[in-house]
Amino acid sequence: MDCMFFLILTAITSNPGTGVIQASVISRPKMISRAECLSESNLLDEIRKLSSGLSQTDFGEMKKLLLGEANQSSICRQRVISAVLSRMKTRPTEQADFLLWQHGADILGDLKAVEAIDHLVAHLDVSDGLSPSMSHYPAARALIQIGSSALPKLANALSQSSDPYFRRKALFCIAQIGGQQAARALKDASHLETDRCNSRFINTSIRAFKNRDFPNQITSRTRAEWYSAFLCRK
Amino acid sequence: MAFSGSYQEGKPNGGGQIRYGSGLAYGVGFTVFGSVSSGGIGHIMKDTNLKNPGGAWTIEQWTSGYTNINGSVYLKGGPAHADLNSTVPYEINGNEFRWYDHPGLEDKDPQSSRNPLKSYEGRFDIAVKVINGAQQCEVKFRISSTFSNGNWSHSWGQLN
Repeated sequence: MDCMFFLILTAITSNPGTGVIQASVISRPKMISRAECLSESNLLDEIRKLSSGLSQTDFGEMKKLLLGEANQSSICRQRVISAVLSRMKTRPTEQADFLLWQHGADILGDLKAVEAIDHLVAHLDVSDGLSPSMSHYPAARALIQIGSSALPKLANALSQSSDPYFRRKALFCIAQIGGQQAARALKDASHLETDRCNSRFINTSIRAFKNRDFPNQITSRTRAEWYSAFLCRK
Repeated sequence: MAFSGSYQEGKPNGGGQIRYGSGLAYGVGFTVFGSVSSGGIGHIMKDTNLKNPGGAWTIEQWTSGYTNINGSVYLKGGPAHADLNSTVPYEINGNEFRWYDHPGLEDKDPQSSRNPLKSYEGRFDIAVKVINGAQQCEVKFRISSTFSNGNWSHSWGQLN
């Protein structure tokens, strides 16, 4: 036995009562004509599948096809990104829509689709509403995968949005992306932020960035405290 | 798997609620924790562990969820999807790992069609794994939460 889980099932029913990146490496596409790209109808057929109940295996195969297509040329890449974005126009209201967002954002993140940054930042708050964990926020996840290219727009969202919860999600992405540019964005935000929880989250992030092992990154050692500051229990 | 105690302050295991900002999340919190004998943890599903990018093992969580909110089915169940990445609360120290999740229902937007909440049924079949090529350890379990007549109830148990 080389690995183990510790299983503690101390109770099986609670008391009823009060409601109590690494992204895939995408090589630079070569310039070839549009004729060598997947046909419009084939591309749309693939993109339509995003909102169906794809198994992870089926989604993996579809993603491989689309990433391969995007790698054919800059024109093919642009067509894939546009087609995915066109399916992510509306906010999800049911599971099929959310699956579309989850799968679509996964592809955009793997493609490091800087073309999608504006749309993703505008939809940072899209979630399935099942958990406050940021793994349920597909746009945030994609922006983190895109990385430092997303930082200027995320920093801009901090100064533009009047919604403190929206700003906190942008701060989460900035801190999770990390690096010197992120550190500067957090420092700038610390002078502007008016929400108490967000100010605390910024300060906790800046403190967490000051470590020897991985400067300007959130490390495993400080992650629990950092995540608590993000959730901000008032 | 721990369904009692807490991952840390504010992240309780077991049935209940967690508060964040001005919102509440109802459901069942759990902490997955374990270890591998050697080789280290290199990945959190497809995300790299910065501290040990060459680690041999990958931690994974797969979830199939069914939810019915105020009589409308939102999640329909079906194939399990990848449900873990580096945006969740996690810790990896050498060959040891742990992470936290709290599936259920967020209550954050008073204007949402989910409010006022009249009924909720959530069922999550979850598999957590640590994998290194052909070697793997896996635990499967089910979490259920219901809200009716103003009361929440929660249960959980291991699946075969």
